[in-house]
Amino acid sequence: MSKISTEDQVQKMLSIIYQIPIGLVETDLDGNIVEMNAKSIQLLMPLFFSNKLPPTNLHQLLEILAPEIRSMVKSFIPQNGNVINQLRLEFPLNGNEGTKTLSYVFSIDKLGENSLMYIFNDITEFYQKEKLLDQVSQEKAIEQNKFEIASGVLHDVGNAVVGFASYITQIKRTMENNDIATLENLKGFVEKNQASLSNALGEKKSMAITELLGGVIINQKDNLDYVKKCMADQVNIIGHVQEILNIQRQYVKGRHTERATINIRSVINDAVAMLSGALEKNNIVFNFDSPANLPQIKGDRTKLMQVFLNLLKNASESILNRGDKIDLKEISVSVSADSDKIIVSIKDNGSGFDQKTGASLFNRGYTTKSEGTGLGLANCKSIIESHHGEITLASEGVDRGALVTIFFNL
Amino acid sequence: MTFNTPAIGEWLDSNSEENLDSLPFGVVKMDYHGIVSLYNQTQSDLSGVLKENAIGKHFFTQVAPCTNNFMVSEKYHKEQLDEILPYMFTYITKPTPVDLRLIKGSNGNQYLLAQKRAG
Repeated sequence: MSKISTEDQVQKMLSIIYQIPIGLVETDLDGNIVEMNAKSIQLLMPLFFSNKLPPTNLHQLLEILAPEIRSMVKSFIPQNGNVINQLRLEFPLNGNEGTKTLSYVFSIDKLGENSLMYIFNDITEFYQKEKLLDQVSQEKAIEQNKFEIASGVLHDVGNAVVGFASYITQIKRTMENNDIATLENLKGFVEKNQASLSNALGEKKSMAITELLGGVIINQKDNLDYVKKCMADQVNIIGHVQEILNIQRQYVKGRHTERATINIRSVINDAVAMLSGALEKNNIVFNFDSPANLPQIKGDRTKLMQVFLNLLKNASESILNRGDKIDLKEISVSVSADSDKIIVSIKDNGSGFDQKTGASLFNRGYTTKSEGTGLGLANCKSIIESHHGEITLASEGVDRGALVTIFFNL
Repeated sequence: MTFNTPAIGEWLDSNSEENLDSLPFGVVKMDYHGIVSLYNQTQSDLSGVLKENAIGKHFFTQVAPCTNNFMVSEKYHKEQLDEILPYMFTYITKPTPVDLRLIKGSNGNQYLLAQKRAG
């Protein structure tokens, strides 16, 4: 380094050193700090402080934070050379907001007989982002896996349902071959011969036989009606199951398809059909208001389906969270359109959220659910945006419901 | 007037740059955003940064990035502040142990005072 001669040069050097966004520290072989730049103080002072060490010897600090580095430096024999190159280390820091884990990357060069250069940086933020990305790709793999399992299950359940339906049809046919007609013939025969029977058995007994036959016939008819009604219910339920399976199959099949023409109303209808069981079970009233002839949009039906399923699930979970505080549990979806956009609003009277939570809801990795991944709404947002749309989420506050509004620009 | 004088903020508010220059400890006067409006001679001697290179700049990132952490810069997020702590400056690259006094008043000014420590 040339000798710094003028004040101008000193100031230039200073601003360079100050702007170098990497910590640089030179120590002697015992770790006593000889020179250090501003960034290194910014990064090291909190560590010295939280470990209650004077900020004069780096080795004392590393002895606590990263003993492996200390031993690598100690066992480095040559006069000069690279001791450690870009080693990532993790250690705890007790700051104002509790303990957090820091990730630092360290390089160490031996510059001479009694000089070590430590070059390091705080990569906590990068490392966290990388971890989150990893998690997202893992989620995707799980999603793929889920699809494969789902299509397998759909296939098997579909087959089972077909078998079940044909079995019920058989039972129905068997039921039609009953003995009620024969019993009625017998009753007619007994009534015709009432007089002779009375002579033979006495009037009371012959009347009793007629009444008994009448009673048996009524019982048989009642039972048959009841069984028929149950059968009819079964057939309806199977019909519903098959309908849901068909919808599901369509989405499993259609997940690689290109953008097609889509009717938003029918997508929402499908989503509601899939959730209708859960809504009914939890006594949630569902209102749907949509004009019959909506303009169609181009898009990915499967992905939009995911969005509406997700939003409706969120709405009903939020209502259930609020629990018995609500008299009427209600989700209202309304769709409207004008010349340049379709507007979908989904309103619930569930637990809502405060402003601070609202600001983070669309962030990847943010969740208020104990078992959530924080990917649901973030994914919804990117799917809607890929359909030239916008999604907003509003609430007047905790326990005051929430309103999701989606615009699809035509 | 010493580094430890209680309620020094009011005195600093009302004194001229000339008076502050003659103090035996460093004084940096900033607004609540951290923009430097006064950088006294002792502070300049401690850090090596000339007054004219400090005025108008953001203290915690441009003038003294060594303070940009929870121990110093983040303390100024509080509404009121008067705290002394041991810290480290660099004169170019020479470590210089200092005591810092962080002061934030309610009239739009905040101060960082620095006094060289022996050792």
